[in-house]
Amino acid sequence: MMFPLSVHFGHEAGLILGTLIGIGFGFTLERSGFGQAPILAAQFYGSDTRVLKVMFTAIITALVGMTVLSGVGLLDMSTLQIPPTFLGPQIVGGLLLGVGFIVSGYCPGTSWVSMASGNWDGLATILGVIAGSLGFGLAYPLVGDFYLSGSMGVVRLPQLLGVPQAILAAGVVAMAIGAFLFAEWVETTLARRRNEAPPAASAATRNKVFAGLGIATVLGLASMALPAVTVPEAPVKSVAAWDALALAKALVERPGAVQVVDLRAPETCAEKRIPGAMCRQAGDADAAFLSDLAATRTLVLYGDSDIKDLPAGARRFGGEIALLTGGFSAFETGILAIPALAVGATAEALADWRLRSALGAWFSGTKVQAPPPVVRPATPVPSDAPVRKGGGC
Amino acid sequence: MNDAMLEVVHGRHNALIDPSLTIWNWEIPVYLFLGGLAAGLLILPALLELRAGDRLRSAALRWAPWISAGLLSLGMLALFLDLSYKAHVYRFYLAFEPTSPMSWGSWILMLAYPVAILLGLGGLSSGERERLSAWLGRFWLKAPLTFAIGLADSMRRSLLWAAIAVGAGLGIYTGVLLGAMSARLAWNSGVLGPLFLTSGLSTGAALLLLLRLDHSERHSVMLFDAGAIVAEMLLIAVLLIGFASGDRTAQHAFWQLTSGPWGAAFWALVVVTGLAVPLVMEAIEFRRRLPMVALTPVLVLVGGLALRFVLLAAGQASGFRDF
Amino acid sequence: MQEPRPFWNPYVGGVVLGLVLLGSFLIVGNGLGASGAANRLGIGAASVVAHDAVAANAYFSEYVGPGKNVLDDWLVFEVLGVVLGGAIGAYSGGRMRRGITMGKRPVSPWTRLALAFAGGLIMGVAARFGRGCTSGQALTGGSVLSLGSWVFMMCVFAGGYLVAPLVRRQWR
Repeated sequence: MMFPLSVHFGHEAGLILGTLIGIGFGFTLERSGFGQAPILAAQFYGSDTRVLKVMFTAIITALVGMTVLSGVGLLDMSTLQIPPTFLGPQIVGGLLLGVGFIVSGYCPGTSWVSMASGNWDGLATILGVIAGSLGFGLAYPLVGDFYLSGSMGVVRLPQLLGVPQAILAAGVVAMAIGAFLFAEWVETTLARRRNEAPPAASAATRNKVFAGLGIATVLGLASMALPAVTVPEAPVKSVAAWDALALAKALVERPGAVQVVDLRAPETCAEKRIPGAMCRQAGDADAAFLSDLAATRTLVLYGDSDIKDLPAGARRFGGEIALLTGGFSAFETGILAIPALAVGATAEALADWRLRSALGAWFSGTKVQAPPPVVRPATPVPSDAPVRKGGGC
Repeated sequence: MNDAMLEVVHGRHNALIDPSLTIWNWEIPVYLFLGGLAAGLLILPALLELRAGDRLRSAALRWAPWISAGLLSLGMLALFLDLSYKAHVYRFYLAFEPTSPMSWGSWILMLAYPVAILLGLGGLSSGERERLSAWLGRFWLKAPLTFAIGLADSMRRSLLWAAIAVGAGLGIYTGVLLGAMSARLAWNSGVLGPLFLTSGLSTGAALLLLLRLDHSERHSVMLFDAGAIVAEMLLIAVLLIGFASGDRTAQHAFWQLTSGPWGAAFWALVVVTGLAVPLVMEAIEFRRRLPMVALTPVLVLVGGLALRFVLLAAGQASGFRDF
Repeated sequence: MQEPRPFWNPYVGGVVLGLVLLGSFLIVGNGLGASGAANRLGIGAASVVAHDAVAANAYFSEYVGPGKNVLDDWLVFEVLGVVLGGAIGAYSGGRMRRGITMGKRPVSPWTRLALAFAGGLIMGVAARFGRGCTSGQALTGGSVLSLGSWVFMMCVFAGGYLVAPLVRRQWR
């Protein structure tokens, strides 16, 4: 799996790429004639069916492209964002959008292109869309139930019909080409009846496009013969494991080099957490804010115990990630609670205890009991040694 | 210290724990933008007139110094709104501190006005001069005006050079002012001064392009604008390379501008909208000999404003507390 | 002044548009859109004017709130690109000029603007119910064979053809 590439970069990079993709989108829409309302409206009077041709060619191009790429194992379709289905609201929304389309002459996307070409009616449509969206929000108490009705989740036709995507794609391509030929027949017939010239278009170019799409469709079908590709896990950055002691030391010695995020439930986190840790907000299952944190500081994550799966936000984080071994409970027992030291401990145990109790005192703010007396072999003090009095340092 | 106190201090979940620098709102970026624009409007007509060796023909170019002074006043109004102690503003002018960019700035601002006014007076046509002198005559100000116009005409050439010098100072000082604030990581670069100057030049040229210009003058202004955009792109590259190859604090600034919370605004608004697209539009204009559209200069102006906003926002979000 | 460049052959335009859509899926993992940006711009403007009312609304409050910037979204930046790309296309095609596009039988400019606004208003509501518009739902969802998107797309054409005779005067 290579695509989508978005698993490799963060939210901000996606926004920047979005601008560039948008430039391509806007340019193509303009060059297809979609910046002018009469050309778009002509679709519904049969005089120029550009809308159908451009839109369906685009759909089958992208569909066949994705089919071939996922067929050869380069694309993981399951990682794509697919709009969920809400059947009732989408039927109503579609009908209304068609009505708005023919009244205004634009759809929401093309109105931006129209405005960019200097058309005031494009701007009027944009303002209308904005006003309509706000109106919907204001009426939400009334329409909210219907808006949320008919939820079916993400439903894709291949799963629904039980037909492999490549075969379905071939069917869609055949259907689209049939629709194109029918639309051209309507165009010429109506033009003859109205004594107008049908829209000029080169049949040779059309045939080349059809041939290209046909070949790509066949490739998609052929990819079905390939052995199924096992989906490897999404690439995970190398993630370090820190124990509680390492984290505590890092927090004391280099507090600016780490940022600690508590991935437990927000309420638990609000109650008690590693000092300085950030809690995630309620309802933020992916911890999306992680991708926006400073990539120059190590991101330390912890849960109740060991974290098994990184949240999606952490995978988009640009810097180094460390997981706290044992989670909060390990920190609580290892650092916050200071173990008692047995009398007569070895020198190493004493050093370890000193470190832990210092860290525990640092983080919990509690005073530590004085270290137990260390028993040393008595050495005789010479009685004639001068006894220093006061002041000396 | 109890748990909560420790957390407040150690986790720094408290805006007061680090020395807090007053947060600047919209006033400062707007002031920097208008100041740059004013600098561009002083330099550009002066350069064009020096090159042509003759008075400029377009009303817009002759009047550019007046526009410059007006924008500067608007900018200073924004600056004044930002001051906490508005009544203390006069203190800037009671002393000159050679090592303080703030002091330099306030004095450059004071120099810019007489230069702009004299340059503007000298650029007036004879008809405009008569009308102005008739109007000022009502306030018994005819004699000072005649004197000032005489002065402006006799030292026109020196004035042009003075305009270039003052404009350059004005454009550079805003960047130096930010750069001198070492606690703000994203501003710690000597490139900011030249960057703000070139941005001022390109936005100034863009503003002139929105006004009615003589055909050949429009051509020169647009070429100049394209050149300034290219220079600005190079300076941004230098700025980013400097940050990327610097120490950890500089790398943090690099991250903040390129992929941090301001990355998208920086690339999309400043680089793409404000620089790359206008440059493409100007290239199309040259190649296809199309009439100019207002969109190109508007995008340049938007980009110039966005540059100040993004740099200030990114700068104020960073500090040594991150390290 | 040169003649405007002719539009692309619709099938070529479709292939290029399909490749842009495919590229969007391959690079960022989601398709194109438009109405979502208008929605967010509207909410952003509304929250500047009446912040508390927006925050109290059940629908708007999903978009605004502490730590959320309503404009910090892929679609907003994508639509910024659409405007820039559209401008480059129109300018280099020799088609950029201030005006109002109209059908063959000119109507008064204000009628046209009012109709454009009214159509936009309907589409604004429609795009919320449909979870997208022709770009975000029909084009994008259609290419990944989403059930709701295909239903939506058929309904768009149905709605358009149903009402087209009523507004025929505007276009023919």
